[in-house]
Amino acid sequence: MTQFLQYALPGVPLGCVYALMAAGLVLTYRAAGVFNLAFGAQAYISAVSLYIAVANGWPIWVGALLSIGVVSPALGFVLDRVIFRHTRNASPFVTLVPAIGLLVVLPSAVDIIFGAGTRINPPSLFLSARTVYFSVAGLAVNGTELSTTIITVAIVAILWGALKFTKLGLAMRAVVESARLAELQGVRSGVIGAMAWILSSLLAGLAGVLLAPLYATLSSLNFTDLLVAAIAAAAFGAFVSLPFTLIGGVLLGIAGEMIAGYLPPGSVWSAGLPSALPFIVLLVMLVVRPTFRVRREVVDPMQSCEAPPRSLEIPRRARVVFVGSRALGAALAVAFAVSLLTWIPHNWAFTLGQGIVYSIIFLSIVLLTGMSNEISLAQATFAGIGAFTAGQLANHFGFSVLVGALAGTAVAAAVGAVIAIPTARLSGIALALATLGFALVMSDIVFPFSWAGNGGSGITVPRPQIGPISFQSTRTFLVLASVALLVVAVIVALLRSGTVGRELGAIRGSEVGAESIGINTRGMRIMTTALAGGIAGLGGALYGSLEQSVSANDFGYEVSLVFVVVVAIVGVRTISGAIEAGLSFAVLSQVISTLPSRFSSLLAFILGLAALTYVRHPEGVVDFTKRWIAGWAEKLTDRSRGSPGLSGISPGGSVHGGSVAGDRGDLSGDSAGDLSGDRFGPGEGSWTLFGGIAGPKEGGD
Amino acid sequence: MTARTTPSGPAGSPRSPGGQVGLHSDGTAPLLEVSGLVAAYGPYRALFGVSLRIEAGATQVLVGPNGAGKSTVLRAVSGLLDKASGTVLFAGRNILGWPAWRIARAGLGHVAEGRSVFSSISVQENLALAMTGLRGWRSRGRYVEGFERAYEVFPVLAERRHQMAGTLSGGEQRMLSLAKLVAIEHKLVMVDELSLGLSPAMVDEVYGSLVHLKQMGTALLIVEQHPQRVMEIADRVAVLARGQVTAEGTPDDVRSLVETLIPAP
Repeated sequence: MTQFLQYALPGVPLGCVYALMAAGLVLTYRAAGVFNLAFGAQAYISAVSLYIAVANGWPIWVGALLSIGVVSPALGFVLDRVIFRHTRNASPFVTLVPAIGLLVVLPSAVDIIFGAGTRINPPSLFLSARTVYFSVAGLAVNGTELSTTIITVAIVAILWGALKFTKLGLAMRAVVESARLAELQGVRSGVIGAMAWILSSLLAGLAGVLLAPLYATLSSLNFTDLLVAAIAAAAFGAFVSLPFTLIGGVLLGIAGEMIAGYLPPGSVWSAGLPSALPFIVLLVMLVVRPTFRVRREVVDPMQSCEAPPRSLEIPRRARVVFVGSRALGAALAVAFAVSLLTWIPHNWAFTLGQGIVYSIIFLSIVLLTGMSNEISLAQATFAGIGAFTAGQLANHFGFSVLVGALAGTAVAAAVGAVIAIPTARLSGIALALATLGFALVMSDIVFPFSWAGNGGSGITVPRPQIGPISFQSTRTFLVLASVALLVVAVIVALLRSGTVGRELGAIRGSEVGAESIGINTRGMRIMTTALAGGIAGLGGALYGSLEQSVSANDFGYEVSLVFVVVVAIVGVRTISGAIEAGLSFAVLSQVISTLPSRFSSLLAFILGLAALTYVRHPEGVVDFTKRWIAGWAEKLTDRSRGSPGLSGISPGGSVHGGSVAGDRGDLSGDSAGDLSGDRFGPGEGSWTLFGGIAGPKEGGD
Repeated sequence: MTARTTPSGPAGSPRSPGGQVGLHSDGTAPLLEVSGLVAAYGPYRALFGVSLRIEAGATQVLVGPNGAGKSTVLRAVSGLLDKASGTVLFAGRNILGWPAWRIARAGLGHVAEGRSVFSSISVQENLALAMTGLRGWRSRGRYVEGFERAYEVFPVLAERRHQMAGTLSGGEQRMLSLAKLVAIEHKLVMVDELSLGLSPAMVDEVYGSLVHLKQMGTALLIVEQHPQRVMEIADRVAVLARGQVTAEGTPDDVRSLVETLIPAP
């Protein structure tokens, strides 16, 4: 019993730490409608500013007041005005991308400003960390543990009351559900939204200052790891209930300490299990708790005030531009391929090889997120499965690495299918977090085993050989990788234009609608997850073969986050988007690696910043530029013909006008017009149609 | 149930402006005067110069086929659309371009089509929220008064005051959105497709509450796709087609036109 208590008791303050972060997550989710993965990064900023204030000789309470009372709320206000003001009532993916961007950009900004690898040893704020106040069951309780526990319980109680009983709390909950409807009640949604962000950022600041003394030296990773546990704690409360979040956090803290206590020290299990425990709990919670299985999240009833979503392709463009750009593109591609195989330096050929392999992995994200509107934060994990399978088969069983790559594809696809069976019921944030949990469990527990990724030291993966043809050199490997990319791209393109693509489009538009016309949505989800897993696995195997040596670090969950953000920025809806994302990501990494070490975080910083632009241009860089060029081309050709363009109507829109209410095209006083035109295209079209079919199911009396 | 009075014709309303066409004879400005209203959703235009006028306390019905732009008119007036131009004079001030919350606080209520309650908060909280946003409703006593008024008109809501609004039936949700209007005094209330998807008994109930609002002296702008029922309480009727007002007049003036345009179900 004493031993039990000795293991369990230190878990309580640790659990309170989880709960404090989790309360911040729940608050941001309920009051601002965003699942803020960057909460830990905000806390880190606050801890850093406290450290800077103290290092400059200011009294600690001034520094704390400054970081909690000024820096953090200001950060929250800026985040709201610059980013999240534009994402009110947006879909989970749209808010997730900038949140991931912030998670990356805030710490890397600190690194760039204060030099990479800054190690901060933060001071303790309230009660001294070294003073022992009292002992329970022979265990000393120090100041930090005591103050953390007390403050966490107090904050959770205050937040719970404020959200439930105050006018501000009521207004916040209303704005999260529908900003427009709240405005119709006279609620200033902009002000309320900004206040929600200021409040949640203030809480992040408080958490940062409180929790910093727990670490001897502080890095942003500490807070990110904490966040992982906090998400699991928040899942206890279904992301809405603060009291359950507190309980969940404390239980997690105790469980973690007990596992660490009872497991034999030094094994892979004792190293990986405590840190992965939160996500195992999260996975179980997400799958078991019925709340998360509600596929339809609360939707904004006023959504129809928005302009219909833009279709992807540009429907018409000037013939000269079209033919010209195609010819130019083909000529450039040929010239590029020739020079790549002849005179381009070896390290750049290698970089482009990486780009091609990334493109294959990114195609899996296009298939999942772009085509079927699912979020996966584990695509790097599937790539890892492919790479390790190929490597292990080649090293231990003497298989050709190409056979190994195909086996890796199959294994990754199988794992994808197995994972999809429980998670196919989830959507939105719950799905994103479940895949994140899977990624973490794999990278912390499975990949370190010597039969898998062999931990940090990694395994070797040979370059392939087909009969007499050797792909030993980087240039020949490049040809092989390009062929693989071509095959995968064609498969995805065929899927997209065929029945599967249309069925996925239907599911993307309306789950209920798709089911009502006989689409097996669950089966489709499992199939796409498996397929995407397989594609990522193939890409990973090729990545391994290109690099010739890979370790678990190459396929961590943070890699998956970066992948998703890169593809989202460049263009998640198109195949060309994935390829351009892969190439530009590889090239950008190569360019930045040549800069001084101070700028090693620059890549993360640039990506993060770009992710913030995503809220304005969810169509991605590729589609945005195409549209932009086409717009100019249209203007120029119109001018040369002397005919004025349609004023106020963008080139993309007018063609679709016939099927939209109110345009003076085909208003015969009945909705049959909606079914005509290009609504059946592979783009966004089916949305309206299936939404309409599903409609009568709700409402009614 | 004070609101369950039989809907009366135009003659039953003492403030009816009757058969005046267009101009207001008493020299006062109308409560709402819309002219040349143009609106678009992104690149798609929906309104092509709509003009409307509503006297204080009068009931205006806006009818028209699917896709005519009826809901768009209401949205543009209440500030929900970014792309709108023209003029919207409300109580003498041009409110076009104002944020929606400011228009709501100026005394213009809008019940949007379909579900227009917050489903994740309770019935009572929905009512409280409607009152919080408005000036002059800060004191506790006026809250209580507002709740009482709303529950008097819709007793069923009083029974469900602590239930999440999302768990109400479609008709009860519609009642709740009307109850929000009863709880506060608006100068003008705009309602969009109130009868959509409701049972005949429920339609009676919601129209009863409209009559109640009318008796309180609130001006009404009612959008209906099936206008036969609502013409009974209208002072004036405007017909909207293809984003423009094609006819306007008393219910008698436009009845034959409306009946050819939209046959009775």
